[in-house]
Amino acid sequence: MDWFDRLYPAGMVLLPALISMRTPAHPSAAADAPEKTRRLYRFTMAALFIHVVVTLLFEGFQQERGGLRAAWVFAFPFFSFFGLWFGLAMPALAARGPGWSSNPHPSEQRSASLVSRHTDVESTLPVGAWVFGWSLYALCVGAMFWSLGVGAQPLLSLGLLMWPAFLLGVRAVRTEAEPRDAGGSKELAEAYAGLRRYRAWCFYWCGALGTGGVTVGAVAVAIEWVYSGLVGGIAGSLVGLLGGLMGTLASFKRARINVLLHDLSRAE
Amino acid sequence: MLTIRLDSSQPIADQLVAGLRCAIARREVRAGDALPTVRQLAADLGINMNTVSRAYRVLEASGLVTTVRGRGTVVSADREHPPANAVEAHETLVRAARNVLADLRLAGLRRGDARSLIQQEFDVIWQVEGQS
Repeated sequence: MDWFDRLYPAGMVLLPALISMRTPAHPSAAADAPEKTRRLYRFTMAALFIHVVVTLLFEGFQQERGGLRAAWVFAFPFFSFFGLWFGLAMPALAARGPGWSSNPHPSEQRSASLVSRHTDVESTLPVGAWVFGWSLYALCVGAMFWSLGVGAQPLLSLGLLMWPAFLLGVRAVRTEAEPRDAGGSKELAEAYAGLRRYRAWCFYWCGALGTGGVTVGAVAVAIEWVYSGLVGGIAGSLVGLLGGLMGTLASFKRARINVLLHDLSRAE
Repeated sequence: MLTIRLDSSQPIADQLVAGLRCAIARREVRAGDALPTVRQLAADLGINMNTVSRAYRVLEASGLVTTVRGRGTVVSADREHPPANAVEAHETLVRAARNVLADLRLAGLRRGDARSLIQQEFDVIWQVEGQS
């Protein structure tokens, strides 16, 4: 068991509580919000305790038997993340204010900007067309090797799939709902534009790095099997971690927008 | 900014058409500007895409917008197609003006208030960029 197996489950178990700590209570918070938050913290401590016990048990097994192959079994406390997040953190966060609520701004009056977001997103993409060109090139190289039957076929297939997924992601940023307040708040418009550009940027780089990394890793199989696996693994992990981090930060930005929408609709 | 009310007795498509005509008349969007895509507007307002499509078709038929390949729906003019029957069109406008004034009167506005409200909108629509 290495440091990653010890720290990763602990980090995931702590994440819902950390997000809850990072979210300030809104004036419209429900009366039971503190109790729900305390419950989340109690279960988080319990899950963390289980993780520590399981880790110590594993260390004991390893010392006695000189290595245990099914190490992944001991990462199981990680799965308590789902219970903590969906079962406890989401209700607690929704009770603390409209930021994480599933329906934060119900209103019979709806308004929308008349400015097309397509142009804005296109002008946002940070380094111009060359990243698209590079990714397309990597994709073509991958496709060529794939057609020749050279390289790691699953990795190449993943690289081939990433490109359209990346394009669809950038497109989705343009069409994601941005309901406005009737008063035309400048702060809200800026928050929307900020989130839109941030998400376009995230899809852009995840897609570009992912497609390139996976394809290069797959093609490298033709040269040296071990290193190619390493390159593909590192690229895939980096894209996964980057995507998770960016998605979490985007959730915070979205929560801020929900609070703004809620406050504006109450002020009307 | 386009605003609709879901609890209004007026159909949503009609509200969209009215709102977009008003935005064009007030120069909030100008000839050559691309309107939001059907998908974007429908998502923002939380309504069906077919409703937005229907509103865009009505505006296209009246000559205010046109569909340009690669750009979507674009404002083509700030004036509708001239009507075939000028006398009938004039009567329609008079009726519309009469209805607006009747609404203001029935809402309880006094003459001065109604006049200043009309004047305010009048100034926005006819005196943008020094137009007369």
